[in-house]
Amino acid sequence: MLHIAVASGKGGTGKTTIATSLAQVLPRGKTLLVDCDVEAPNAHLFINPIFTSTKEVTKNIPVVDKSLCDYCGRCGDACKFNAISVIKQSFSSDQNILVFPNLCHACGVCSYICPQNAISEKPEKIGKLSQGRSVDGLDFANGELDIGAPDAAPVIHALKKWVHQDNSHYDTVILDSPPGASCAVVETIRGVDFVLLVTEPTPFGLHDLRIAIKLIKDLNLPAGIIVNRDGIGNHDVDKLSKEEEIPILLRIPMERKIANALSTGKTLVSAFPKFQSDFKNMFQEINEIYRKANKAGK
Amino acid sequence: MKIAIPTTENTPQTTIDTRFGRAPWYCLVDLESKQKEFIKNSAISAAHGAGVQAGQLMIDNDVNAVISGKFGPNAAEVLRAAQIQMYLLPTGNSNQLDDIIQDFQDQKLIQQ
Repeated sequence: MLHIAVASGKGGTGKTTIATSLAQVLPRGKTLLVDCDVEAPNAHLFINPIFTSTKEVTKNIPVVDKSLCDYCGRCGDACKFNAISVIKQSFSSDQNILVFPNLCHACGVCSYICPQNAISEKPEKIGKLSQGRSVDGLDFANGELDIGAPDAAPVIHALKKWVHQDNSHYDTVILDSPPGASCAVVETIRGVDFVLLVTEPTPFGLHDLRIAIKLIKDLNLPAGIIVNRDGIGNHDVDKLSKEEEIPILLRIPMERKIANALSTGKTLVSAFPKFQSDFKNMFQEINEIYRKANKAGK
Repeated sequence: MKIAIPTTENTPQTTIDTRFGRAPWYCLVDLESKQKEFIKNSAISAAHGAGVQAGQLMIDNDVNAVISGKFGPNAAEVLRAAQIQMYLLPTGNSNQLDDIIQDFQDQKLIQQ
């Protein structure tokens, strides 16, 4: 099974355009598309799935039993995210302990370290996962971070875990990543076999592509570049591709009719079937690069 | 009484840092003995929760009052729970440490 992440660095370069079209040219029943952009999921708008199962995502927030707590402060010292503050008794104030749920990363170290067993964990809902299938048979899943919840990574983690429970019958899993190069992107591309980096040939696309390349090199993942809106800007992305030895696998021209079709909610390959063979060829190339990288790795 | 003022450097000539959680230094002033002591803000590089950590630092150093341009919500919650008074820097202040200390002693600062 091949896991392909579609990432970008810069937002709005066309990750979802690529992910949805790639999923659509691959065999139904053997392909799963997962929208990991849980802060702004929108791949479902192109796929129109009928969701058949959903699941809540929770994170465990510490709850302190003040009748057991002796305010020793070990939990506050251990918390790497400053989510617990222990106020020891002084001449001016009473002892107290404060929990900041928005800073908590639910690592559990506070309840683990507490010598008094005064800390328990209470699940708090932070998002929702959905799974289903489009009318034409494409399997699809996505996640949605609750409004006000500060951290996308745990929802993406839960989404990947959830779809992995029952994915043995798929040949390809395509993960549509959020933009950027932060925790949410790392969570998405961690453990994948190949990363498609979608960019546009402008100084803005180039700048963020450089950051994304750094990330995939840090994670030691094979990658390819897709140049979207080809024909605008300059040729610096081509230069960077050569320097970094990351091949450009596909170019999608800047054309008004493409933008028009996408803006009506059609995918690129359904609006322009001529791209189907391009996406299929690209998939072959990805497989070859992956095989080579895997051999070299062994 | 011990007050803390966020500063940009650890010398008496330093200017004030208007932020509480992300200031590089704090000047702790003992108003009785007029002793000044500078402590480093360990929270400055915290990815999250700098305000909470900085608040904790005030507690650990037995500070009674803090003067700052702005207190974040988390910092304010910790300081409030520890009953450490929060005072706001007046707009148009001279930005000099001794002036602010004098203003505090003259009760010219507004408590948040």
